[in-house]
Amino acid sequence: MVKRIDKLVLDAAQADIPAVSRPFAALGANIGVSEADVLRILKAYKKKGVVRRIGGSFETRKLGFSSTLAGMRVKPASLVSVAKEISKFPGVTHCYEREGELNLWFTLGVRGTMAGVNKKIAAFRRLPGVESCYSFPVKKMFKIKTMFPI
Amino acid sequence: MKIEPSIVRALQGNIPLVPAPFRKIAAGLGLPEEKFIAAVATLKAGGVLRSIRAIVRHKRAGYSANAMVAWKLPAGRAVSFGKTAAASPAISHCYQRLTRPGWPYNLYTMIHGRSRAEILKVVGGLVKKTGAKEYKILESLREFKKTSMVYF
Repeated sequence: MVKRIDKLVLDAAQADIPAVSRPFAALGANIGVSEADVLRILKAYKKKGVVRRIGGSFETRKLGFSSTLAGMRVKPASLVSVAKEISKFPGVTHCYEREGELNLWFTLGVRGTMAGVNKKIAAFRRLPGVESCYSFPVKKMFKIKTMFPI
Repeated sequence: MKIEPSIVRALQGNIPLVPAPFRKIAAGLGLPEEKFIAAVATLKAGGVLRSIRAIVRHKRAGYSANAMVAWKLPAGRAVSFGKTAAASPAISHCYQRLTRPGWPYNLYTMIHGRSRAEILKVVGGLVKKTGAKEYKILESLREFKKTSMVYF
């Protein structure tokens, strides 16, 4: 059972940690929790692995990166080896097996223009066991906001 | 706007969990705390930095079901659908994307829930609200990688 104070802190910290001298005191002040308790709770949930990271969320494009979402059809026997090979590339941040005809999906970001992304996609397409690989670049972003109320 | 790689580098990982984390980071960069905080504010104002925040592993937080739903919408309906979907708290990401021959889906929603039933309920709600008919629920079966981008 999650304590009410833990939920308050984790929900607030998922929304925004202000860029001020004492951010955890400021965050706590809004929800009636002391700075020491905010830090204690964040440390505990980070240690437990519920919190993966506490840091900046950047707009990839504004940092000069191009990105895409790609879906692949991989022969089932090669799925794990292809997924591992793709995941080795630092610009791949998400890689999931999914149900359906395209059974492996990943996100790819590369510094520079889409040409670099396309080149990398072409290289991944040549991996043994890959039957097809489609890149679906963004046309319009409507939302990016991950928030998991605890 | 000039982006200082050292500032991005300091924030792309973890900030220290101490009372004055930015003073500590700034000291490491040989900067006064105010300069670092001002640089962060500039990145935020420029939309480069969305926010500094805690990123939760959703499965560990009880959100064990997650599905990417790919929708096939008539071109004229994509924007209104996107706006409706974006308003749902269960949807974390919503993008219109290019299609490919053989893959006509032009809108993607990431839906998180505590069960498959919760996901289906969100999908059902969207269908009812928007009249969208063609979609594919692509539930994740296995996670191979999930990390944050390292920029510099």
